[in-house]
Amino acid sequence: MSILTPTAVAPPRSRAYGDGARAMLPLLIGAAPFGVVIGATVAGSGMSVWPGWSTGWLVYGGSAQLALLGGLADRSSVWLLLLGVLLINARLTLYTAALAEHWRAERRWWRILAAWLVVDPAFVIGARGYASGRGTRAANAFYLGGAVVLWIGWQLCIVGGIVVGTALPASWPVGSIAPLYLISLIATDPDAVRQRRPLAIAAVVTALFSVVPGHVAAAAGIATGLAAGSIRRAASPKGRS
Amino acid sequence: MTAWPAVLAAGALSVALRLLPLILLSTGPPPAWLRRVGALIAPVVFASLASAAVAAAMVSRGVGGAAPEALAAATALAIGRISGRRWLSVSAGLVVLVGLTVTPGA
Repeated sequence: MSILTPTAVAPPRSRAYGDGARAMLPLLIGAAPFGVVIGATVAGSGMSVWPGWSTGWLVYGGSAQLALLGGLADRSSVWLLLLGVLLINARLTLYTAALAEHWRAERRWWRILAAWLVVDPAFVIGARGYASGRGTRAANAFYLGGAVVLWIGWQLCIVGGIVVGTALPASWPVGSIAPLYLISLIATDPDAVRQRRPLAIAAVVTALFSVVPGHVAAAAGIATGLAAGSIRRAASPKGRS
Repeated sequence: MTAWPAVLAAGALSVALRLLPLILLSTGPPPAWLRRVGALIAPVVFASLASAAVAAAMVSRGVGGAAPEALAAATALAIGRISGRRWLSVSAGLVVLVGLTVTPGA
């Protein structure tokens, strides 16, 4: 085949990488101010820039990074810092467990990379991809395309925060785009709307636990909401069958 | 204390939390409880994260101070339910948020 032979149609898998990358953009815009804040925290903490910036690709989770950086600035015990990271990032285990079932046909390096990139917005995109009915291989590409864009964008946001962190006007509501996007995903999904009781329980428990220090609110809400949903399904005749 | 040991240990812990399910679920089928809640994980996580964002505003600025975020979230939910359009839901929420944020006294 000549190199001049036109390619008819992009294969679904390669197109899905791009689709996932584009789908990630609203979430990346929403997460960007958080990354900038982390960069500004690194710059203002007095610690060396390299370990601070490296939390972006080693820990790779905004809440855990912020807690770690705050603890390092306060000279907290390493064990306390690790306990905080464990509590905050425990939800990532659940995310990977939910996504990994779809990754069995992929190569080992792909699965390790995909798991390493799991974080809240990536899980959002992954869940969307698998619910879209585009086929497992294409949905995997959709997930990884979005996850890679998020990872690159996150590192750049932290660098931006280190350089010009305090210049971003605090009045810009860009940080609220991500929660509004999450709400829109629930509101426009008929299956999610039908599960409103566990969702409401998760939201209320998260709100109640938000006054507890240690960033445990979302983890508590997710655990309670899933437990409520699991009990409900186990008790229903359909769930037992 | 140099920051590197804590950063490296926290990084190793975070990677382990992500990779653990790959190892545990590589051979056998997923556990029954995971299958039971599988379809619930995404919407429950979304609800918790959205709620956490609104609650964080309430904790830092008080209930009244977080009114723009709470009303924007309620608007996005209502418009999304009525219209079924994601972009309209987000846009409506943002309009409410910006409108209330720039209104003096809001």
